[in-house]
Amino acid sequence: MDKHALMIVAVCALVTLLLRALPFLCFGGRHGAPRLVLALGRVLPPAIMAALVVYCLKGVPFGTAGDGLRQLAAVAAVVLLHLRWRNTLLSVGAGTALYMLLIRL
Amino acid sequence: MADTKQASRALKLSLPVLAGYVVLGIAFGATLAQAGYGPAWALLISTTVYAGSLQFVMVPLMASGASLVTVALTALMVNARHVFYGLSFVERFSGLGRLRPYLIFSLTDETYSVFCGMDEHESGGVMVRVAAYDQLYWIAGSVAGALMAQGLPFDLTGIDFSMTALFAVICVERAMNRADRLPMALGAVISVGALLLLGPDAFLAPALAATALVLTVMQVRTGREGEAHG
Repeated sequence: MDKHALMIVAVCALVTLLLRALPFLCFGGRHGAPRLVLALGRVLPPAIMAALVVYCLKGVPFGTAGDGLRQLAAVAAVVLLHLRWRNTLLSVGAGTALYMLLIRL
Repeated sequence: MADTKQASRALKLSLPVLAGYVVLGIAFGATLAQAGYGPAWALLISTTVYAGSLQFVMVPLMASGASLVTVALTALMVNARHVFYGLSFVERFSGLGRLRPYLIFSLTDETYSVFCGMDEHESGGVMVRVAAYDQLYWIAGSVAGALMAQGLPFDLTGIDFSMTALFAVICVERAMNRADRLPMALGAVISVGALLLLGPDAFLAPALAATALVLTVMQVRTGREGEAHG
């Protein structure tokens, strides 16, 4: 058994858990969170979701134009599909299929 | 709601994560196995660490026997964004008692985003099932990947786009709500700015911190105006 690798796994698990638990350790107590934190918690999700989309597309400005265009086109298709039918599985499934097709053309 | 009803509702909500998690899990398991760590390691890591990008970064660290300080700092950098996820759920998780520890532990990007797209009145039973199904997809994928190790029977290149698609869908859903549009636009503009300024490898955590800061200032302002007018 590779003891050092086990220690590495333990450290990664601990740090990740700590990061995820930090807001609850700070504000999850009996007195609840300050009003400002609660208000922040309500406006953060849409901002974070936008940031995650940018994170997924982070290669676009630095890769080839063709690759970036394929990703942007597939994202546009997902948005349009979802505006039209509002069916998550359809939007994700068809958008992904389109992307997989585009990169094979 | 009955258990089976909660289970099927959670299954439906977690399905968009299935393809992405299984395929990324396979990629992780295969990478890990190629570095000399087999299926048992994949099971251990996906069960206890359960953080997509960090798990990929861990592989070379394990293979080269990196120091624990290096490992801790790397984990801190790669996963810093997770600090912001819990902030949105301090209130909702606090009433969920026994379910809370697992909900906190399993708050990955994908599970967080499914929660963000969910109805506010969704029960804790449904939430914890969504979280558990997501982790099962991830564990199943990574163990399968470690078992297969060498090459897949068919070419799935590009299927990881389903994560991008899922995040985009949740943005569209949130944008239907007028009050969410300004914070969303802010998050997008700041992230793109940070990406162009800092490059693709280190922009997300600073972007989230800057966004949180701007949103806090805006909240303080509206709060003050409310007091002045109230």
